[in-house]
Amino acid sequence: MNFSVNELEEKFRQENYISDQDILVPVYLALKLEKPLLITGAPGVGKTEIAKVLSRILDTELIRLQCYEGLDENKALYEWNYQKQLLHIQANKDSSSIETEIFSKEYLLERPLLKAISQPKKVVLLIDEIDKTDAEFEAFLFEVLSDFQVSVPEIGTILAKEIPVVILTSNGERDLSDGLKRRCIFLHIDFPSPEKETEIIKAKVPQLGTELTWQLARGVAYLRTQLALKKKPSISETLDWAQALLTLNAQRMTEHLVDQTISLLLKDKDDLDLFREKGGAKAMLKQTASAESSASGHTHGKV
Amino acid sequence: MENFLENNIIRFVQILRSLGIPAGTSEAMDALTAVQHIDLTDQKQFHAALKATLVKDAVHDPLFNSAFTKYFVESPFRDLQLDAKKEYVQGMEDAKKELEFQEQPLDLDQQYLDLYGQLPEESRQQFKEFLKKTSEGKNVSPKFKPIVENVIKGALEYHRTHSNLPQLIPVELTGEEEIDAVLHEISHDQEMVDLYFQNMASIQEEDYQEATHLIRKLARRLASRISRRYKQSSKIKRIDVRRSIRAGIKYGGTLLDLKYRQKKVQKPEILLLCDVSGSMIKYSQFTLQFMSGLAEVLPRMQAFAFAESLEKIDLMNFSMEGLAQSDRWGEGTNLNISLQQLLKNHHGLLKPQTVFIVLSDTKTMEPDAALRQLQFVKRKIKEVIWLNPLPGNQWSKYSTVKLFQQQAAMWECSSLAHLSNALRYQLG
Repeated sequence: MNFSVNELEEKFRQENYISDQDILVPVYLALKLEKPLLITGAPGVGKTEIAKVLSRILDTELIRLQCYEGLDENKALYEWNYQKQLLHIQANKDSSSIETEIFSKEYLLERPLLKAISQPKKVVLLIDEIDKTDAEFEAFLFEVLSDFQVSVPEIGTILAKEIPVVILTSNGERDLSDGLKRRCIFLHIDFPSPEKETEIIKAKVPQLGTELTWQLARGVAYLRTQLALKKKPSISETLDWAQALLTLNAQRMTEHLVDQTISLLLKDKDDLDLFREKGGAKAMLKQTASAESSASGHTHGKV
Repeated sequence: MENFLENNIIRFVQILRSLGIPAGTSEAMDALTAVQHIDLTDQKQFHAALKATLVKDAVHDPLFNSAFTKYFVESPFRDLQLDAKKEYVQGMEDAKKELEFQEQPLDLDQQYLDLYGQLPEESRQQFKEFLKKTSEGKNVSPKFKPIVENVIKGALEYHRTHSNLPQLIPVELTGEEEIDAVLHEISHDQEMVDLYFQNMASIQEEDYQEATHLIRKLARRLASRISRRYKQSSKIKRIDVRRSIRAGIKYGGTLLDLKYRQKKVQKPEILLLCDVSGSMIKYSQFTLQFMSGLAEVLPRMQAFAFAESLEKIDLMNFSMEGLAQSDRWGEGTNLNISLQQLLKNHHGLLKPQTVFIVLSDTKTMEPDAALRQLQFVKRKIKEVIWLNPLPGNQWSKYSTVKLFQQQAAMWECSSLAHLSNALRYQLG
């Protein structure tokens, strides 16, 4: 990897991932220092997307380990192919070297972690939603993430041929252990500013009109900052909203349009009730308009 | 220390530690390596590189940003910081001289001196006049000093709650002049006073909604952690097929050695006792609100408010306003009587799996008798945790703190950050 931070920014932009140096520098350092990158942030702010973009930029395979409660090393690292081993035992009962035979790589089922380590080429390993696993699994990850090696008792230690690019994501459902955090470069992705979200919408849904794009970004910013919502709308939900407005051939935001489509952004009944209680679409558009008029002309013109 | 980049980064790490950001040696080494790979002339890159390597929790971002902008400054600004620090130290000296009783300085914590230092001249004059009159009063002996100290503390507490005084961020000074000058400036940075780090007693009523929102968020996060940690496995006593087959390989595939899934530990039973005497009410309000957020995952949790006696709190229907209307609010503190009532009327709650949490500043009537009751309670339960809103670096000054530390694991708990960390460590 011989590119600079600015070149990385350009490559991200080419992949339609709009970001700034707060995001790019940690990514760059993770690549340079060959350390795992721990990305936190609310769901839908683009954490997983970074791994996907990196795999495309580096032109390499993306290996994904989706975490969930109860995930253990058998499902994450490796497992012996018991059925195949049993068949081999039944077929070769008299063989003296049967034990050596059944505990060879031929009978080893590689799970994502081992697969990432054994690849001859550098791959991107995405450990998604690490906060959903148990603390025990986190501790187990230490060995893999510190030394990039795996111990299989029957075979020995398998060292990484090429250290993978490791991306861990967390939605912050629970705090991760200090040990895991210490081993990682850290990146927290917050909700974007309306200006940056406008850029994102323009990159992802370019057919949407300039005025509507701006109104949409301001509207989402209003929901995030002015209402104490249980679940704030994410970037991906903003993009869904933009797509919906495009499908409805909308030219500009109206109260009727907001009422029709607000459920794409607010997916909790309490949040919808709160939105209506605080003035609903009317208040939203009023805020959007006042922000628009208070913003200087060049801001609008930038869109 | 010379002004090399390495030295500057190490000093910056020291500042972060003084602010409570847990940046260890490995983080410092990562930061030093990281800056070798970026364009040092680009301040944004430098900032992002240090943040990515030194801060591992987004809640510390505002503190980091404030420290960064105040530490990496041109030398004229550093001189201003040093001057401001000197002025502050002089101000504290003046405050100590003004707060004297019969020519003896009052024994006041730094937080009270800070509070006094922020008061307008008019209010300070009232304090001085009160102390002068009291010192010269008839039949007033030096024995009255503790009483005068309590009156002054009470009056300062009143100003803290009723005046819009700037909030100070708690920092631990290091003794190194330059670093302390930066820390002093950060501690007075009003733009980054954050509800999470703010002293709970100084959270104003207009911020209650935001604080409630933050508490809900923190409680939800801890609840999720507790729920996962203590979730009873539905596979208890069930055979673990994978491990059994694996163990059976050595017997030619016959399942001779059955393996079972392990039973997970049970949730703790929490018993919470909150001091609702005058100076403690806000800490108790916020703590009880936090605990009510955990009540769903810890249904056996019980809570009581105490002052001179005990009162049960319904956590499922808890409201801050309801607690403020409690008869206990504003009374003095008698932990001894409250524990006696607990033992007499609610002894069934004291079980070997019970975690007993006390929220109090340890200032109670009959402290020795209260300690004996606490010893008695402790024999019946798993452990005692004490959440203390007094600043940790001043605990050694209080005899009652030392007394109760003998029987309880004590945690500093003056901010939501303290509360969240203590409960996360003890319960999560």
